[in-house]
Amino acid sequence: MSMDLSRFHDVFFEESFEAVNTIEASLLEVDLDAPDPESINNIFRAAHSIKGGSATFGFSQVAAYTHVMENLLDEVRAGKRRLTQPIVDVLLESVDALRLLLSSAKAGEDIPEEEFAQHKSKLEAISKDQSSLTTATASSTSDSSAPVAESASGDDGVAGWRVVFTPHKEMMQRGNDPLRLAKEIASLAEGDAEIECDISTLPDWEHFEPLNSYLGWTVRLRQPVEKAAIDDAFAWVENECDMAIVPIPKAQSAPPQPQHEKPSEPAASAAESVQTAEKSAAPAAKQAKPAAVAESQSIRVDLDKVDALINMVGELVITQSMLNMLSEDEALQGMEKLLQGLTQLKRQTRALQEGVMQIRMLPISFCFNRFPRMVRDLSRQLGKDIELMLSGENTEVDKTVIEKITDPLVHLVRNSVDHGIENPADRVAKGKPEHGSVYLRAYHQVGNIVIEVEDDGKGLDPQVLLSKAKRKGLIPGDAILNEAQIFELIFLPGFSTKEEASDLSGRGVGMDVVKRNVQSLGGSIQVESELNRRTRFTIRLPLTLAIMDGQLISLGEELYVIPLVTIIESLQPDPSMINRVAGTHETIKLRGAYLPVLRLSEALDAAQNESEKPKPLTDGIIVIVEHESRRFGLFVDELLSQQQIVIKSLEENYRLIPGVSAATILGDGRVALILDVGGLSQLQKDSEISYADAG
Amino acid sequence: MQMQVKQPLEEDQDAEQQAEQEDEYLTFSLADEEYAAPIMLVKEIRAWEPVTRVPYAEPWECGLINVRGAIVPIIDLRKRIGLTKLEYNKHTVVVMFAFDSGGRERVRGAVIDALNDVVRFPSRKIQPSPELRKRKATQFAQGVVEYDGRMIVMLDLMRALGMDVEKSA
Repeated sequence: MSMDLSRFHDVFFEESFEAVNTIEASLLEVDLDAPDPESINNIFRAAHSIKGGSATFGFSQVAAYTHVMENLLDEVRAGKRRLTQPIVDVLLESVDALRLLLSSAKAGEDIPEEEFAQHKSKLEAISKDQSSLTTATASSTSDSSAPVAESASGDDGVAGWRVVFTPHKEMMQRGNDPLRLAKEIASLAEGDAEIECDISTLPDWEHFEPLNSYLGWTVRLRQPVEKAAIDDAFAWVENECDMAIVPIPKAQSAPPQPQHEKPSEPAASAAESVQTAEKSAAPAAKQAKPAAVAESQSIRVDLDKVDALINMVGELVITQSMLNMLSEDEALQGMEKLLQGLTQLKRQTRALQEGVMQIRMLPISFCFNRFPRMVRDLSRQLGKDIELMLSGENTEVDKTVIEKITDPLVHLVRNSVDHGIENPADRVAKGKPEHGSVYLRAYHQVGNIVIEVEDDGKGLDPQVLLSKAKRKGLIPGDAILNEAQIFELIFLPGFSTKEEASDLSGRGVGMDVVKRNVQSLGGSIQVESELNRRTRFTIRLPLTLAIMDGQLISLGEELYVIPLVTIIESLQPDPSMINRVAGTHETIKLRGAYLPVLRLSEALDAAQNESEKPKPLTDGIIVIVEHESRRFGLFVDELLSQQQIVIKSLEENYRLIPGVSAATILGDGRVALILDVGGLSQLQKDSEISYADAG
Repeated sequence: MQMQVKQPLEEDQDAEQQAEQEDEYLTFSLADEEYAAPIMLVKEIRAWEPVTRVPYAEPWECGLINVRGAIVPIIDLRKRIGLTKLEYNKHTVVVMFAFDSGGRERVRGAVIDALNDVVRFPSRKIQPSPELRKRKATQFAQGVVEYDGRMIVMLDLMRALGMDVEKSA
């Protein structure tokens, strides 16, 4: 029976990439002086399952590559080879190569043969390296099968094996073919085997599911095959079948009681005993598994399904707010039960919405996980000793936010390692500890997630930054800036602090790009620094991109939404607070500070009666908003309600509009535009300049 | 851009005609002219409803409406092709067109005077638009068709609905 396997490809790739991550994580935490046998087994198993899957699906490069990797790991696992730093390094490189191979295989192509050979030869070279072999086997290579023989001790006097093997129903759906397995086992005995099929579990026709596996087999191997070889054949289906491997003794006596066992256990425990014996001198405390991550149950769901659900809840929120508006109708007053029901609906809708949004939330560790490796590689390359400290990895944030924030964070961490932390010699000269520290923290703060990247390096020098910005003509030569404003300069396009671009940071991507990326997510970035002490970047991002709290305002007949997070306060100004600069440019004096005021109707090109004089500011409301620590007032007609709004893309069917970030749907089904305070801030600045030019 | 959609014949018609591929078009009127658009691009037909004005929009863009949770722009086709505006009332018709743009559906509505007919004809019957009509409308014409004694203008929908404005923006 041939089966179209392609629909299992996605599952295979997802699982394989996960396995690669496991390998990488285990390699990074392995302690060379006392390797934890369990973590080496983890690495081995992960490599083995990729090999098995790729062979089944015919991804020959991946299979060939993982085969070499597996052999090397098997030697380590069996205690024949010590895990040395060069081996860990090569294995880490192989993790990258494996990712590359898997991505190419996913795209349906192979990587170029020379490139593949190059990757493979690196692995093979270290596999042939004798120096890391443990003395016992290095001294006599002919004895290479020693550990295997050891694990199979007691197998002497075995004439063959009886393998009873019953796949679970779902086995074929996972892409494993029982027939292939049966053949593989039979081939171990070079064909000297007989196979019996157990059809007792076959259901009636009407209950028969063609995708399920109902059969069981008994394979009799009439050769004294090594048990480990049989175990190997089953290693990656061990959880998907019931099986027993029973020796057939040479003498024709009655067979011993079948011993049910998981096939990988004997090999693993043998490996452990070899290792623990060898490392008996090593401190026992080191054997404790570091930071065992609590396993939680999860299911894989297509993101489209989740998004469809979120959209539907969005609709429900709109309907609910429509009902809420209706409930204020006079005619309904007195209908207590109905009103109670509506209140309840409101609460439940909100709970449902929060619950659904939670589905899209992932711990930020999905993004943070790459950094230990990156910092390790970079600091080695630069000859620096740097420790990366993570905190708050379990802080949850929307998947899209995670995807989009990763690149900016990579840039910031890279900067800290490359430019921030000094060379060990310089650090000692400054009286600092030789090893530098980079901190990556995440935490929640009022509806936002805050991510900090901090290093205890040389800090930013305001004088250097200022003179450089002036030299580059980014600011006027006579500009007077306070320290915070000077630090802001690094976000200007065309500003790069290190004179010669290194191959690490100088990739043509500047801090301006980081800032733009953060802003495109509706977030902000700030920098603080103390010379020779530390530099800290603080990124604030909304938890989700789909829903926010908004303040409805009116402008004549029109309704707009101002994101609540940007609003500092709203007030009806007193005439004494209003000042005019250059005749037209209005400002409002608030607690000693003069804030520019933007007439929203002008900024949004709203229809104005030409004959009518512009409304005095005292006739409306001024909403003080803040964008990147710059405050200004928005002049609007009226403040309406505050409510949760569902963010709808404008670009899906239309295009971007200046001063507007997106749209939403109000309770009555009407569309309202969500104002982009950053864009309005820019409009306001531009108008200031044009006024200045005119004056 | 070519937007002909081949449509298999369903009805029993003249055997001679059946041999030829015919396309189905929706025709509608703007002032006293009849226009046609491929029916495969028509997503739905709605009545006029108040729109939300968009700042800095083109004069022929009416604004945005909510179509089952999606934000959709509405275009006044009369204004777009240089005719005088007709006041909207509850009988005003909005035709929603859906285009495929890079695997993604983009929806856009057009305000027209009235729906006329659904017609079928083979694409070879479409002739180049006559040069003599030096009108703004001709720049949105892909060609003309003589059908049942009347002249129908084949509308270049992508341009008429301003889909090209986004590209240049």
